[in-house]
Amino acid sequence: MEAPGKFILIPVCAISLTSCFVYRCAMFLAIRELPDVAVQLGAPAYLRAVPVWMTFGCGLGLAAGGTGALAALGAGAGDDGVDDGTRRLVMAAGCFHGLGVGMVKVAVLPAMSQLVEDRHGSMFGVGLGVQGFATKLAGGAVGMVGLSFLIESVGFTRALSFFAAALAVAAVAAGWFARGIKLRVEASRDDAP
Amino acid sequence: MDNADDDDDEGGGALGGADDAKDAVDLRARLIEAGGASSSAEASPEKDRGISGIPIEDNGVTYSMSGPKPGTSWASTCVSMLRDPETFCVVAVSAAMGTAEYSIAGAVMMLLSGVMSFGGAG
Repeated sequence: MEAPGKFILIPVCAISLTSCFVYRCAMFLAIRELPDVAVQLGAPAYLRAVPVWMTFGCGLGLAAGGTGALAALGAGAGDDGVDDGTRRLVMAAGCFHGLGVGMVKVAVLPAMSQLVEDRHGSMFGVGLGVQGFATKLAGGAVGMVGLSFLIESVGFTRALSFFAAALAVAAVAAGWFARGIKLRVEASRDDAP
Repeated sequence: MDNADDDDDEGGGALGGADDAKDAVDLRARLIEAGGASSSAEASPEKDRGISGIPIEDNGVTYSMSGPKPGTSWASTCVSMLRDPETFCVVAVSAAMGTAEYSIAGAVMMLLSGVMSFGGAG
């Protein structure tokens, strides 16, 4: 191939491959976020029906299940990359994972604000600050840096298996320790007599 | 004529006073609607400090806004919050949720983009 043809073909191929990867990543993020958003949109009805301990336990349990499913997919697949069928299963695992995270996320804020108001005199800023700091610190230090070190040392499948086991333990502990937390769901103005 | 002028002045003053009173009532109503603490200062100076709850009646629905307890600071509240098992549980659940969210998002995106394979390190 002549040199001018290479100059055209190589960037076109690179852009096509990159857009394909970007499409896959965007698709995964969208599928993972949709259940999260759906739970948050139905938060008032959901929080009336489901107690906090069950939300925490089931939410973290679903996240553990999604992580474990990814680890199992890794155990079944080889080093040859991700084929179409496996990619669909990865998306499905991400969907369950997003549902679990959404269940926890939707209950954490009202639980924290009501606990802080009842026990610490309405210092919401402290409660939300501590909670946000814990989320970001754990997500960055353990979730991203820790998992990357773990993947580098023991591989993707084992690292995710370890994370799934840790999340399952956290789900049981959260369900146990949160059994005394009860949300006050007040009637809205429209529902008031 | 002078007496009549005086009467007019007095009448105008009385009308001005009525307008001022109406404005004050409107201001008070707006403050109550906005939940301002100034509106309840006349009723109870203690409530203005935010030590106790301020009930605000509005169309039969009662709202309560409680302020910080006396003598509390950011650090002391933070420590007492982490000593409380249930508040600590919520903070720990938030941390677990953050870990799950960030770890899987990053790892799966690396996997799908082909940077990393299932079997081992990238």
